[in-house]
Amino acid sequence: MSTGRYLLKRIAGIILTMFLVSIFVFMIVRLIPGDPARILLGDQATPEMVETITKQYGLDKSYFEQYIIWIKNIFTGDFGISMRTKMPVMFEIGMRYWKTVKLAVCSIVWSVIAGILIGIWAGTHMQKWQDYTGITVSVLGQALPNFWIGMLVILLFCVKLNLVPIVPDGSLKSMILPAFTLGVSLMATVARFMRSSIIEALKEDYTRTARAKGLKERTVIYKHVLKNSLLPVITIVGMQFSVMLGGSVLVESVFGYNGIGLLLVDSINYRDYSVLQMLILIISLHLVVINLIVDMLYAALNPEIRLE
Amino acid sequence: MKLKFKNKETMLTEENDMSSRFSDFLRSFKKQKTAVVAFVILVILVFIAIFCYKIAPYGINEYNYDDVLQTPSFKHLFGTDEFGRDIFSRVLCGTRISLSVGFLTVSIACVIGSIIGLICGYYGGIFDEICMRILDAVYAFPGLILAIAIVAILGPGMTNAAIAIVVFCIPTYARLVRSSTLKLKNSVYVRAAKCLGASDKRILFKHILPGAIPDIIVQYSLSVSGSIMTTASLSFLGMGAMSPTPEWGLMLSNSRSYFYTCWHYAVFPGLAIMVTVLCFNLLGDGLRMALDPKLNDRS
Repeated sequence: MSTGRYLLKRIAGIILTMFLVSIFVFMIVRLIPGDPARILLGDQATPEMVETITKQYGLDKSYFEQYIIWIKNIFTGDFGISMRTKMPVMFEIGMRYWKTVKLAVCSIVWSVIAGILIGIWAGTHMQKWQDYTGITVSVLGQALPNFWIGMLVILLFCVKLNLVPIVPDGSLKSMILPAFTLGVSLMATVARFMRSSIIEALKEDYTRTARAKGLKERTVIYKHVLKNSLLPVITIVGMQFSVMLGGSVLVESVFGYNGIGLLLVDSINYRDYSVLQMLILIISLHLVVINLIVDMLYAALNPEIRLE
Repeated sequence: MKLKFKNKETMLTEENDMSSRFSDFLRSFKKQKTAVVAFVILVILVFIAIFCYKIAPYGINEYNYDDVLQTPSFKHLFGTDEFGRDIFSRVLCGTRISLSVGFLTVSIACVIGSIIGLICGYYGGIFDEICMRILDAVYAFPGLILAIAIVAILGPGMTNAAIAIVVFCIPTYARLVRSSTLKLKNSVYVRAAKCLGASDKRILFKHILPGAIPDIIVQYSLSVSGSIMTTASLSFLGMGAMSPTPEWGLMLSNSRSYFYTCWHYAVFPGLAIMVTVLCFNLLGDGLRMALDPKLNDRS
């Protein structure tokens, strides 16, 4: 199948998934118990005030009409107004989206580099202490709840050693702890896959050939083995993007980092429908697009893979 | 008479076959030292979960305002919390909650998911197509975010958190069992059973499902650890267990107000989560190695 046709097929799939997700999101938001107009105005609201707000947000129309209006508005770029802060939803989400992306990118960068290095180190020293250290790190990293790691690093670096500010102020220094916390499980996963991938590649014929040619061990590892064993790792990193978004809810809540994770929790607690539905929609779109990019990247890097 | 005798014989060989397969599995499982250790620790944890109220030195809601936020000592092994409750006792009793929620949610999800997977894989067609599309849409959400969304509809609480976990575990099993079903449905022995006039129900549950069991067992162990972690995470966000339940995630969440002064309050419940999750992960890895002969010569 040609790349163009494959892309078209995948995009059709994405549109279908997003349609299902949009219905799901719409239903979720309407099924949350509590009248949003009442919650917005508080217990002392008069019936007239409730009615005005309901009309203003279109909450009195039928679900079908509400859905059509909602979709139409999204396509015209009108994401609605947050019921809690009275700011446009686009602004609320956009401001925080980049903060979360920044956090995610920082943690992916450090954890992938660290994971690959640990994986190489462990994989090339099989059954030696380096290997056992690597395995221990990766096994522990996958079992630690990231909110607990967050609390421990705050306790150690902010409270006891007083090295970094507790409240993130947007500077790079204040990003270190959240990014570290968020990246631990990815680092562990990457290290683990890298290790088994390296061990597999070391058994291959081309490795034996490279060694037989008399190449230095370093050249064999970095030029021949690494190139082939990086492939499965790319897939894992792509798949971890979704896990990371879930993790960032916890990490942002521990650190009080004002990203979309914290916004998600807040919008549920305040029943901020307009923000909540856009937020879940954007998160899903983000995930399916990243999955597509990862698949394309994987195919581009490995000629053996056929897109289908 | 002769016929009956023959039947008995075949049954005997079948039994022998099963028992030898089990002993094969046991032999290769014993080689996985870490998994065996994890299994032993898990047995101890289950024991603690059953007898926690007998073992615990203090009651879980025994308030004692003279001993508030005490550091660990011989009197209180893990110290006390903001109400003077013994953290050691609370962590012990938290084992029961986490393990029972973990086992229960994953068992339910496993049964529902397997049935969906069997039906989708075996019959195929439009039902399969619709089911898989919906499951894919569910699968596109990260587990925790999906759980948060579901808890948001149903309202916070332990039961609702458990329902949320069941929902996000189902697609994993459905996909797993569906792919094994697709693989096995055209195999010689399934076709032979069909020729002998076996009913669909019998084929699905007696012939196809056993083939998927090894994969299910491995996934089961890993899912339980995921379920325990998610329960703790939801409680930490205030969407799961409500105080005064001695749930580990909730205890961690409560400890946040005091952790500038009390390190022990934040450390021990987290340690408990870590040990439990670690053991289930290691057990899952060990089971995978033991059940998949191809992996045996690796590492």
